[in-house]
Amino acid sequence: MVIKTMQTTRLITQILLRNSSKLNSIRYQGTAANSSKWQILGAVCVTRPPVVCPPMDPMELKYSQMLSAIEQENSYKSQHEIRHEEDLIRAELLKIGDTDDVDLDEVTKQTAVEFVDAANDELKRFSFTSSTTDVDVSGDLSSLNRALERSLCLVVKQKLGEDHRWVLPQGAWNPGETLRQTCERVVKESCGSNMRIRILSNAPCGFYKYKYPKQIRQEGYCGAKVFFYRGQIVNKDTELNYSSDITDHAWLTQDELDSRLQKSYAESVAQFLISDK
Amino acid sequence: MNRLAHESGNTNQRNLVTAQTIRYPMRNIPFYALNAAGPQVPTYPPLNVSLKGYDFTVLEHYGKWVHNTALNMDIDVEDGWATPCKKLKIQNLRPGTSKMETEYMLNVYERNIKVLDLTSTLAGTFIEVIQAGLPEGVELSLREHTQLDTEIRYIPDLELKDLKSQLEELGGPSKKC
Repeated sequence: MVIKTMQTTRLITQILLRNSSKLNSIRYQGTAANSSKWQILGAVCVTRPPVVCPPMDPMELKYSQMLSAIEQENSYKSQHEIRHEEDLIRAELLKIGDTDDVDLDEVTKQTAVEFVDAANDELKRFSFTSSTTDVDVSGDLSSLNRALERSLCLVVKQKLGEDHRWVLPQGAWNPGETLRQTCERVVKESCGSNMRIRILSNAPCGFYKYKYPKQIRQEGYCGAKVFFYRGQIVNKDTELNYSSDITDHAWLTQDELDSRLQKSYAESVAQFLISDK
Repeated sequence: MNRLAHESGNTNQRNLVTAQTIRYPMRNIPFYALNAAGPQVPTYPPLNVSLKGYDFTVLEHYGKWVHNTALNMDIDVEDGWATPCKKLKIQNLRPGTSKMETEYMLNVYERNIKVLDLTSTLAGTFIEVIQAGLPEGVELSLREHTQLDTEIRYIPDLELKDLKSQLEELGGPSKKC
């Protein structure tokens, strides 16, 4: 009789324990399902606008030459052409020997033809620098001196959690500061205090959302929401020292972004980039 | 009552139980009252988009493009004008002597576009778009519009100034009006 009661109490306690564990597990599942807390990150798209204009296409070149020819035909004579005609007339009169109408002061001055020759000589002596630099030839992607005809965007290999990913420099938002202040802080921390950035608006220009892997999710945040800001680099010539979180950096044109960034991320970034073609 | 309400497109009718009032549909509000409150976002004071360049055709086309872009973005553009050009004379002297080797006459042309009530949310995008289309040889600067910018447009009347200075010399006007 006593043993039976002990058994029943054991059974009862077992049942109770099982039920309480079920309750506990239900509660745990409940919190996991409701934890749709997203971490807010601010990211900066540091851009360098194009330095040199790209050369014209064959079509554009042909059209511009046609337009200038039309303009030439429709235009009146310029001062230079009038001077040239007067020079010719004066030369004719001097040849004949008729010096009454000739203004002798004008004869000693430079004629139009001489002026044109001198100008052409000066043009030959002047050498244009080419728009493709040594950095373009060598293929170094981390220098700011490349692709002078295109606008460049900074992409870094940043440590996110465990692995390193190619992203625009990003950092977590701290409560109490605006998103723009977050972005300025991110630039300062990741790219050093030498890089000066001009962010034009207080509002972000793009957005990207991603979920954390399951191991990190239990710590509270189930994912991150990244808000992009556009910033233009002000001082191009200074040395930039990157933080330890960043293992590699590259200045990429808009076509090259698709090869480096993840597909969905690249799509979000492409939404706010202004094409430079 | 029900038919009228139905015809004018009102969805809510006076209901004794819920006490909801009739809402005016958008088309019954007069046009001058629609934006009477003004922009709900902080705006900039009147800004002057100033474009300076040496090449006249390029500058003019760019000025037209900027003006059109602003109008297409629903930005309130008050006026777009051309400021008289600054004529520069540059002389290259032969090194060591003061004899002139070459002389250049350059004109710095200017175009200005006055923009009113630029909202802070749109300003960044507007500036980025304009910068993206900036051609070679053109300098873009965005400043607050000052009184000096309007006064520069007026050509000073030299005859009037001359007469006034003569009057001052003679002792001022005889009648004080």
